[in-house]
Amino acid sequence: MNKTASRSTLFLLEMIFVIFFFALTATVYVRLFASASSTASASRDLTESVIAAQNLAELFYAADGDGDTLRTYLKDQQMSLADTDDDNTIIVTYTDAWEAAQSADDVSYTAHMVLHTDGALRCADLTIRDGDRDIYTLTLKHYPVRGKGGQP
Amino acid sequence: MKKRLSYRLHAGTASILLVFLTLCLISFAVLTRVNANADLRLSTKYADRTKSYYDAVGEAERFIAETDAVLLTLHEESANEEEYFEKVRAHFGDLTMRASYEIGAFQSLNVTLRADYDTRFLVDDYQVVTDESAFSYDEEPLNLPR
Repeated sequence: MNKTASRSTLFLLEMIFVIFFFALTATVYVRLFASASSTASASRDLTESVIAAQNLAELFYAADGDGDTLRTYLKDQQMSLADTDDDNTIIVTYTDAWEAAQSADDVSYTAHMVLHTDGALRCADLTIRDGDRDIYTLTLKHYPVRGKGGQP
Repeated sequence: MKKRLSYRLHAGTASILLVFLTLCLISFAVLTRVNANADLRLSTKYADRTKSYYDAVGEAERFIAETDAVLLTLHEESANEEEYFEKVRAHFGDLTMRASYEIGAFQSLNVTLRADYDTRFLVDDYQVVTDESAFSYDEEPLNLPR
């Protein structure tokens, strides 16, 4: 009887030690996994933002920096545009999976394109946002006359 | 007589399992973290490269705009092609105007414009050029099966 009791006590003590040590180390690897998850998420957001920004930048150049032509191109590409009060601002909305948002509830990311001119150059300040947080910013400049002899 | 089988956890088994489990989890957590950091570094590099490219494009567009503004004046002051070319040569030193904008350590955006009487100028060259001298290639051919 004494032998059994002593074995149970030893087992219990070992289990207490194991659980305590596991709890202690669990905090370390849970923190590591959590930080890796947030880093991976930031990395994914940045990559997708750059792809979205590149896509919009190339459409801006294809449209010769013209806002109306750019809107037409964006609609042709079935991208969703949010309503804006300013004619010089184009807002493209994306879902969590970086696809065109079909409704306002689906919107997770937005691309804000502010069109303006700098002398003869047509410019756009492009910002990809996650809510209020800016993820990626590009400044685009385009000179619409390409040796066509037209007036800038 | 049937012998009764008993499964008893021996002293120390739980500790060994704990050590093994801890090592496994720590290894996976560290690998995940390292991989995520490497991904973020690559994404940042890609983002920086893209930004550099569009900055270079912006500078190139400004160069074209500024050159065209000068060419427009020269064109308006010229009565014929010869006079226009002469004025362009006097102003730029040549009929072609070149500019190069760095994108990164090994790449640049090269722009070459050529004076043209009908259209004021033509874009001869607008391309990203990689500096091959910065790279070295292994001279040994790959030993592939035929």
